[in-house]
Amino acid sequence: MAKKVFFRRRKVCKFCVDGIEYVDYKDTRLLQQYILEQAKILPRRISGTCARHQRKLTEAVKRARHLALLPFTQD
Amino acid sequence: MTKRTYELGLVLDPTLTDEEQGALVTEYKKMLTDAGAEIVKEESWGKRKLAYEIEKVGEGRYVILYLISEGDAPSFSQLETRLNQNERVMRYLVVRTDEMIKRALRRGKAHIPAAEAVGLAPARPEPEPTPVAEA
Repeated sequence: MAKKVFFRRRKVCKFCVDGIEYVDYKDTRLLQQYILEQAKILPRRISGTCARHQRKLTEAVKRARHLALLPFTQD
Repeated sequence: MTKRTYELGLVLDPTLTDEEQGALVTEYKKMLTDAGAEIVKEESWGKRKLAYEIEKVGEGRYVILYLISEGDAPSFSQLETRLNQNERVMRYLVVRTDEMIKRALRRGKAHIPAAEAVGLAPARPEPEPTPVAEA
């Protein structure tokens, strides 16, 4: 029986790669990429975002939600 | 002397006219100046669809003010009371940005428009015009 070999692409933090240190709540184009259909914040185990950047991202998403730039839920 | 920078985000009633919006924003700008802040940039995004309805309203007028203060920290409490009282202000958000920006400028390489707005980063030069290929 052939053993299945999975190649999983190594996940890297986009923020580290692009040098994005200031996650702006007004940048909905960026934040939208880290939102699931349900409008939940994409967990870092999936996106590969590092802990430091995930914290900034979370803060920004929550601010954007307050100003109705991003949804809290989506049916 | 500490220099602090802030952003004030406003979501206003979409039924306001441009003049009414201007008058309202001017009033808040006056309060900010009195509180010891200087308005360095104003962004008006116009009418925008909201991500969710607020009191059955699906649109809002977005205004972002960029502020600087030198010396004593400005007090926004009076302004916030007024913002809370005004039904034409659907949402507002005050964020202090100087520390975040400074940290980001030390570490990151990405361009930060929010830093430029408050003068913490030099404005980015105009992109070089693409040279037109000679025939």
